Amino acid sequence: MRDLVKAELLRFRGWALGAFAAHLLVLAFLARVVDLAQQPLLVYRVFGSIYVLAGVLLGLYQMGSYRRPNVWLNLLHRPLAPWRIATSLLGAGLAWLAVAAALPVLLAAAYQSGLTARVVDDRHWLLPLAAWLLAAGGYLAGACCMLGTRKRSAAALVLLVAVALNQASGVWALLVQALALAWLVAMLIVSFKPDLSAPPRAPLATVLLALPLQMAVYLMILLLQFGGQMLWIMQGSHPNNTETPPRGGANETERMSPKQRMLAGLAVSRAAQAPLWREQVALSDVAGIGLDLHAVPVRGALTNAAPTDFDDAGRGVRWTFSHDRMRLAGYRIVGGRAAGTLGVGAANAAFPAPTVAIGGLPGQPKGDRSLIAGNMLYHYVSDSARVLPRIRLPAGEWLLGVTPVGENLAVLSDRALYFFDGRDVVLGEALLAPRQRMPIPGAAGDLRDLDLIELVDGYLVSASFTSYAYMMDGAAPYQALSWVHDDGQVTTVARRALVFDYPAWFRYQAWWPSPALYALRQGALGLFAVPDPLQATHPAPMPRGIKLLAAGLMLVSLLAALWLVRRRALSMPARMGWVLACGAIGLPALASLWLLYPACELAGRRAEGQSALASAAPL
Amino acid sequence: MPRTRGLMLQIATGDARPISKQIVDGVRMKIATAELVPGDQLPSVRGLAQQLTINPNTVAKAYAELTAEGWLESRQGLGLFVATPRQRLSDGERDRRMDEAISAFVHEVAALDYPPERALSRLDRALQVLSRKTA
Amino acid sequence: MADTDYVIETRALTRRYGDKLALDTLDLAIAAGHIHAIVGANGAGKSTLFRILLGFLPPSSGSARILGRDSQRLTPSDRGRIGFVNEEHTLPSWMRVSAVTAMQRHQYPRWNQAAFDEVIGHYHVLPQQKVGQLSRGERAGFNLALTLAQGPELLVLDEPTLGLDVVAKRAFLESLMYSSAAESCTVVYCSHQMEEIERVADNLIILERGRLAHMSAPDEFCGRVTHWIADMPFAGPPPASVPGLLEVQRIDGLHHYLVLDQDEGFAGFLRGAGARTVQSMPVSLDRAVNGFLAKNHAMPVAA
Repeated sequence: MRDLVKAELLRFRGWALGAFAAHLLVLAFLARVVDLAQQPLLVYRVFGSIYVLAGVLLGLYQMGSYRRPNVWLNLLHRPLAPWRIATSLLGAGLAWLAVAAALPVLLAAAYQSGLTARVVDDRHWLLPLAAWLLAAGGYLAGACCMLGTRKRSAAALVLLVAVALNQASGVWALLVQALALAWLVAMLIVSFKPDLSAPPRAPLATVLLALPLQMAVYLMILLLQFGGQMLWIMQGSHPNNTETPPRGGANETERMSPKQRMLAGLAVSRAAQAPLWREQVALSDVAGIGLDLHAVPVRGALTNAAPTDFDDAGRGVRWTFSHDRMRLAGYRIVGGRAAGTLGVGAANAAFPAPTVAIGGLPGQPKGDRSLIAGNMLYHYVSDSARVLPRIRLPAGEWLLGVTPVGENLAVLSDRALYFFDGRDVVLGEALLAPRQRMPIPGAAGDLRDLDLIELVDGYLVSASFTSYAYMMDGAAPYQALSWVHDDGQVTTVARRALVFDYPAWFRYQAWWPSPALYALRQGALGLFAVPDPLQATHPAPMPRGIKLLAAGLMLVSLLAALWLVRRRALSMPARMGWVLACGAIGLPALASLWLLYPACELAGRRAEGQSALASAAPL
Repeated sequence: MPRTRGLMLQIATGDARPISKQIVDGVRMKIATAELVPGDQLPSVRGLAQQLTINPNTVAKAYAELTAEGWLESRQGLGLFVATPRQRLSDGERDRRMDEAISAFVHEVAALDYPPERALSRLDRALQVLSRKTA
Repeated sequence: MADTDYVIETRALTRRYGDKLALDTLDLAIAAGHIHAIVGANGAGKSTLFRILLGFLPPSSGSARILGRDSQRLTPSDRGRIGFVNEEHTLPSWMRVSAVTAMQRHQYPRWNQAAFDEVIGHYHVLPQQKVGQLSRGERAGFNLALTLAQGPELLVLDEPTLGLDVVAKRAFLESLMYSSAAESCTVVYCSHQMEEIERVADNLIILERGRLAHMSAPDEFCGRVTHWIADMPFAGPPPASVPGLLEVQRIDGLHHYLVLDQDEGFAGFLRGAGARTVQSMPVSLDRAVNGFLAKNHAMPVAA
């Protein structure tokens, strides 16, 4: 076994060292130019994709070179158990990936930590491990693709898709990657046997191979649906690109200007003031309330959902948020010398959550900034290099954005809209007290447009909930108009139900092909993840027809499985297991049954039938 | 002390005669032409097989046939030796085989349209290799 | 059960690729000891047979046993007792000869260094050479040395001399036949080269279309096939009526028949069919096997 590892290490020595050098060179260059630890998410995605791709290529090449019948025979025909041979080959590949993918990242982190004043948190020291896990995942998936029959072995890539889409962050994300890696290792070991075309025998091996295969079939169904949607768009009758959207639908509302939207909402209002408000809307500017954060930063996340640093040009200092210290760490933009850490207030206290810098509030000096951290908004005063708390929302809410409305401030959280007196911002340094609070009449994830106009005695706010109306996660689309009085009272003055632009089968297209796999998908994507408050929705109730459709498909697949298992060489418990699985999981399970077990038995029956005919002929 | 004679044998693959038959024929001819004389030791089975690049079992088979026919004799622990000549066939059988050989020869000569006297003198010369042995 | 008497034993072994039969209810029993040659036209099922025997392909039906073990359930230690050499001599090209040798030495418990040295001595192979730098002949020799040194009980060679030059071929055959390690094992040798088979084989196995067509010593097989030349004034008898016909050709007005299992009675048959003269002669192994294998192929009808 040791000899095999050594041989395989030797085989890829040149490539691995070359990749190590090239990778290190790229990182060294980038580290000179930018702070590698504080790049936007896209940069890490690109690097991650390259690691995965490099791993996939190595796996394809390595196993591809062994897969040729004669070479495979030579490799496996020896007094060593196949799993030992497999682990030897994989061990060598994984070791080189550690050198080529992880070691340069580790060296870059060491450089930034040891030789610069840039922030290197604990989370950054996990990046080499993440790089290795990604490359290793790609490598094993590539290797799995090469073993087994072509049609079914590409299913291993599904685990990479799962890793890419999983919502967990930080150490939890690594745990998800490690689990996917373990699954891939298990898949590879059960596939690593002399007869590559043979279906798995043991129940555990069957589950290991069949589940990703079913998920892959499910994914193919989704991709086909997506392709169909592209055709629909090209054809021109898709609600998103028709000249006039369906009347009364979510799409129509989304395409309206804020003013039109407000008027549409008022049109169904029974409030006495509605005609008056219509005139006011026509005369005044309608303000749209936007978000400054599109994702909530998570402490310890490996990458940055939002920028973590900002420059104070006046002082010549770049402040970077450190997750370890929960404070801002500064260094000189010129020269890079350290410029101390910055917490909240005179006590230099820790921030309650990772902060994101946005522009200063109206009336504040030009170099000043606002910092969003959890439910708090802070004022960074450039002049004194101090951070002062200015807005505190109730605990548990996420402050998402600040929009000046006239002389006042509208502050949006994931649960409510707050109004503050803009004059207080410049009058003092104390915490501002909200004048009004309007709970959002729906879920943050559904909320697509929030518009308002100032009235003499308050605000008229229109909220339309159409974000996910095209899919099953979203609420049944509607628009709600609220009147926020100066005295703090909030009255709903209109609620306009919108029409679904898409038929039910379309909205539930991820569900009805296989409710079980849909649940598995949701479970896999949310595994170890903290739910994102910005994605919370109130799903509309599922129509009965869709449930019947799904049940019908499950029944069809159960019946088809009953027919199919009798034509495959399977034991009785395996047959029963497959029939039940096809009934519970639906068409993807049926497809996996078809793909896993070759139809040689069928050919045998046909030949026997023919010979029976032939022998009968002379009589 | 008996000496091992090098056995200058040629075998050809692709011949209609199997290799073991070729060895039998070759050894018989060598004994007939006195290239091998009684008491000469033959190469070992392995040795001859190696010399001819053939399966040792083939050589063993040929040696077995030669021994059975009395051309060779085995001395316990020492190897195979050319045997002292003795009458190997019955008189009747000998005559029958001679008739066969003569008839085959005559048929061939007849086809050649060769004068019998010249044929006889040529045959006489050819048979002298045999008389050398008895001389 | 006399399982142990046979190193290879198949019962009604059938392997189908789609509608094509690669092995057709093959019953084959190869006794322990000796060198067995397997010949057959391309597509006769030799490679399929080996792949099934080594457990790299499942049979469609029937059973295959090797060294008394179901070939689909070979354990690693069974594999240690079976040597296999294929025509490509696939060895890791990036490794040094010494490293490959060390690897095999560690993996095979019955490694026989003397046998390895004996065989490798026939070739100019240096331990520090990379396998990829060896010539085809050297690679073949190295592969054979490795395989023989494993001390196999059964050695399967699938066209091992394919593409080797005369010198390399001879060296290979010598290593195979005279190595002390080869003496103690059964050799199954698959080749298209009759010259080699004539030199090497104790037993000749002919496979045809996935079935066992013949098994005996090579000269015995040779004796079954005879070549007859008949002078017939007209077209000869219809080929279907010729007993044991393997091949018929008309050359310069004479009919040449290659027939199987025919004694002097065949002369009578030819005379009865109008032959004026009839001659017969034995044929070489090459001719006999080729004629035998060509039997079912399309042949030019005697005109």
